[in-house]
Amino acid sequence: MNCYGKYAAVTLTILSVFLHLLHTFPDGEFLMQGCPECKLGENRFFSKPGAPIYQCTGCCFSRAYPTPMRSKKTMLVPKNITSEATCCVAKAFTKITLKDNVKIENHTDCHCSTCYYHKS
Amino acid sequence: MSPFFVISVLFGLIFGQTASLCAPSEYTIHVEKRECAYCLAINTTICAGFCMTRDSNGKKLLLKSALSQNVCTYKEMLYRTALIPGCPHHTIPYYSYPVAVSCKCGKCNTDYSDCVRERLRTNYCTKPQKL
Repeated sequence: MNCYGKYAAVTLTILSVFLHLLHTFPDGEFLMQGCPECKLGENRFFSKPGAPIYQCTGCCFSRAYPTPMRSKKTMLVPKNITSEATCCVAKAFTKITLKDNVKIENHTDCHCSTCYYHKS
Repeated sequence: MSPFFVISVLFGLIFGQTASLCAPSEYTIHVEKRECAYCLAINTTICAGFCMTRDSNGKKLLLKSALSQNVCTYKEMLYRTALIPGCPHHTIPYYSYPVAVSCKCGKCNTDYSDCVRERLRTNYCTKPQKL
């Protein structure tokens, strides 16, 4: 019974590790050598056979550090931390109309640029 | 608790942690006050690295909450206080600054963070450093 308990514990632990990794990278991207670069990847949700839709996905650099005193003096509401961030966004895209008049973007080029949806 | 189980859990935790590159990094901040004679260089730890983001193909189809982008930011931090040398008696010579204990890819909290893309370089000394 003790032996089976050990095997069960190990199996559960390995399973939780894989589930954690899958949850972190929902498209199955495993970081074997760090973060994948910001680039085009096929969006399987919108793509149809012969009509692929591409989406910009990948990693970009960001950092958070104590706000320099000189900068703090110029702030209307002084903040202790400055966060400089870039996000993987489309540099160029074409507009596609799907069925039911749904308009989406088909990304053609990507880059690390301004984030718009990163604030809380 | 079985040692075999503990080792497996540790393996899982370690392997999970090495997957992200957003991590505590060494950084030097330069602090000076107008009233004080010297500039102080402080070696501290900040959060820096890469985080996974994506740009939605259908921004108008989704709620703003679904368009979330994660950036490298503080997860746990503590505050330390340093003494700026060469300050007159009527000036408060202390400077408090955050130190990163751990980091995460998450939202930029506007309660205490100035969330920008890039800031003009202002982290430098105009006064001499006391040796």
